[in-house]
Amino acid sequence: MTAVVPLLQPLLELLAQTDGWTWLRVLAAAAFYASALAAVGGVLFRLVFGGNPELDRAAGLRTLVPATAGLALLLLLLQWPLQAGFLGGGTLAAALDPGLLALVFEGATGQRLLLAGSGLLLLLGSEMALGRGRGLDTAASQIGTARVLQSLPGLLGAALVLLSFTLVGHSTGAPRLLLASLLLLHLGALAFWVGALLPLYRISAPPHLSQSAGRVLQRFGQVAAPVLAALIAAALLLAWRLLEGWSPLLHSAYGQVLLLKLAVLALLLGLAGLNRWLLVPAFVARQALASQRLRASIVCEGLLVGLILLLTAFLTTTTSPTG
Amino acid sequence: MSRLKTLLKIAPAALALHLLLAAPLLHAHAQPEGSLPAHGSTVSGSPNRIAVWFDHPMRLTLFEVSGPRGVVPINPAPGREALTRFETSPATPLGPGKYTVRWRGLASDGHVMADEIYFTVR
Repeated sequence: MTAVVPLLQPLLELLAQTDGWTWLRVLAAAAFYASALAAVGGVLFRLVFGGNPELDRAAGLRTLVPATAGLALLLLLLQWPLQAGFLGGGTLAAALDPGLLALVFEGATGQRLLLAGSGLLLLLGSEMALGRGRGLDTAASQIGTARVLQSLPGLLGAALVLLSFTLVGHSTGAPRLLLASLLLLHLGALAFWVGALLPLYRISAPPHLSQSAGRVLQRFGQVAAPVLAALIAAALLLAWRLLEGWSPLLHSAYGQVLLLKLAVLALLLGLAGLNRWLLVPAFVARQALASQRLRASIVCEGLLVGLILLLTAFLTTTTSPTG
Repeated sequence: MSRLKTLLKIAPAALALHLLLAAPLLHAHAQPEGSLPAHGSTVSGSPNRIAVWFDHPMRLTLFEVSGPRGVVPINPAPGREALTRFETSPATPLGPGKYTVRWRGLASDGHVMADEIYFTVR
């Protein structure tokens, strides 16, 4: 124990320096990440697993994507005055200062705001268009090609939202193309996972849908494996490039928070494995309490993902790979 | 009306693509390189100059010197233009005690930066 405290000194110092206004920024960023990734992931979920109208209705994608996209848009806008406020010393007056707001908007943050905002508006608009056409296109939407074509505006919106993350922050250094590509791969895979949690939770409930839901759950387990592998590989490569080696993992605040993320990720992978090899087969076999256990596990996954996003927001808001 | 609806649908995407193509590919993640007085140093008598410098341009939005008697007026104050070195002077000589220089700024990669520097006047 006595050896651990000096080792954690960089992280403890960082925590001591983090004021209330910064914590507000961290929370807003974390909530933005969660809602934006859920909106993007909802589009991906429909593309890969949609096509059964009854399951699509049960999954609630028609409300999930616009609701999360709308929330993400509000949180994106909120980050603007929060950042201006921090720059001015952490006051409400600074948050509303036109000069500071203009300064924040002029730079890469403004570009990200416009790009992510455009993407989120496209997501909202595409969902509204899908909603209007749903009565006529229900049969067509079950056909893969038609589903892809219907999803194109949403996919474009999703791509813009993901791209916006590469405009600001630690991945904007050299080599830019490599770092941005790794970040896109990492976020795309994460969005796929985050966006699937609520739909999978919802389709696991109705007993009359258990057969078709079971098929989706099994397919998700098969698709998620390479997606998770890509997520982890991209994350490790990104960390290695940003930290310029592995020794800062132990000796810098950034590295120590990253280690915490990895620990939570390990728990998440354990849960994912439990789902794939125990809980989903029990659900498909219609064992007693299988649905409740699977849903409880998905809730735990959601909480762990939330913790990872909070740690990420803390990392991106308070420190940098070079300290 | 249908043309207007089409335009409204593609406008966000067109704007977004324009921004993506127009955005500079390299943004500098500015780091502080040093300060005057140096962090943690003890100086004999009031310093005439207080400065910080960076490896890439930084737009300083806050630069505050505080000590045993509170916030110290400085001249000049930062003007929010992008610079690699900011230098100022205390409006009145600093008495003995521990002083904190607190600054915040915006690097060109959009990253908000902040730091605190401590020095002691003997």
